[in-house]
Amino acid sequence: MHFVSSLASRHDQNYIPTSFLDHHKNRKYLFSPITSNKTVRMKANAGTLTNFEVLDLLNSRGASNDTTRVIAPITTLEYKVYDYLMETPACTQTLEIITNFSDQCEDFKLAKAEILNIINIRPSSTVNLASILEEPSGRGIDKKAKEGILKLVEALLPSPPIVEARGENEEEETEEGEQLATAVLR
Amino acid sequence: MFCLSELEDTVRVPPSDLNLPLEVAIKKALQKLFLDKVLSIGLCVSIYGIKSIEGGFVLPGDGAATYKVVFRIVVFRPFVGEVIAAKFKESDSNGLRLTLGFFEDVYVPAPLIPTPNRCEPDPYNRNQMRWVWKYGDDEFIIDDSCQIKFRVENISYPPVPTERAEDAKPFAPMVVTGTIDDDGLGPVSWWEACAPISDAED
Repeated sequence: MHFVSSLASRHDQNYIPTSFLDHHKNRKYLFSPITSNKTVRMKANAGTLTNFEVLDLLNSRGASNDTTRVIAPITTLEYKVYDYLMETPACTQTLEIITNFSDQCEDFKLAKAEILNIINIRPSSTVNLASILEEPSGRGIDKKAKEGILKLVEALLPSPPIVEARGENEEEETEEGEQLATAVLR
Repeated sequence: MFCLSELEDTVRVPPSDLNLPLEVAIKKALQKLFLDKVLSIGLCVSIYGIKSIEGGFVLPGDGAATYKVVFRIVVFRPFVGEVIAAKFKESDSNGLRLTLGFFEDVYVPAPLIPTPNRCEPDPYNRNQMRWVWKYGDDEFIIDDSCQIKFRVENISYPPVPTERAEDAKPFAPMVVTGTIDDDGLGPVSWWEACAPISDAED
């Protein structure tokens, strides 16, 4: 598979399948009837967000402070997203960390989609990195480069929270990092 | 897995909200219209911000003000090739179903579960089937003991059905198909035994 047509680089070129820009009649809406016959002009991709940026957005609206979940102006769906994101590595990251990391990733010539994946998943071993990198051998990313990437991940990105997925008890822990550490027992 | 999308739409602010500050009223109307709904671009999660508001005309016969608003929303739209950590929800003979909390329609069909595998009736839960991966001499079970990482293969938006059987599953307007058939994918516990990279210098 030639590198140029690989999935990751397609995402680089802001590839938007034309179905996203179809006339509204072809769109699959779940709208109330009031707006279903209006044209909604849209730009489908005005920027990709890392998980951290979405979490930051929710936090800035007060998702973290409100334990009753009634006072802050955040909807139930947004709280579900917040709960999901708090269990990913995003909860221990800050903006400086991820901009620093993506700057330093330039040496490795990774596709934007792969850097995004690495920031969101925080692979801790070669095997985790393998599912993220696409055609590493074809692009000259050898074992040494992979180890370099993992070292960068170890050094720059804080460890993810420890999550117990089984049933009732869920503990969230955050490591040092710039964010305050809170352990929440659900 | 989230993107910003910019939209322009005509928004009707009901008369009861007209005493609120304009942005608050418009945001409320936008949330009611877009939040938790699937558009062609994905599942709308949040209103990011309003860029411009025009209009404010009151149409004859209507007490509400209509505005033309340009705004940005955060949509959940994973790209093909993205690796996402999800939780196990249920499994049947066709494959697995995973959930992200806010999005529950992630399916891993049987061909995308690592082979050789077998499907057996779940001893803990009478209604479900359990998938087991056989690698070498070991057998690995897929269940809800830990997070499951999958890679997005495809996103589809099935058309709204006109008729459905009474007991059919609720209609899913957006379906993400994932694969767990690769290194590092599948339940996280399968790969924990691999030692993380050591600090040995090259």
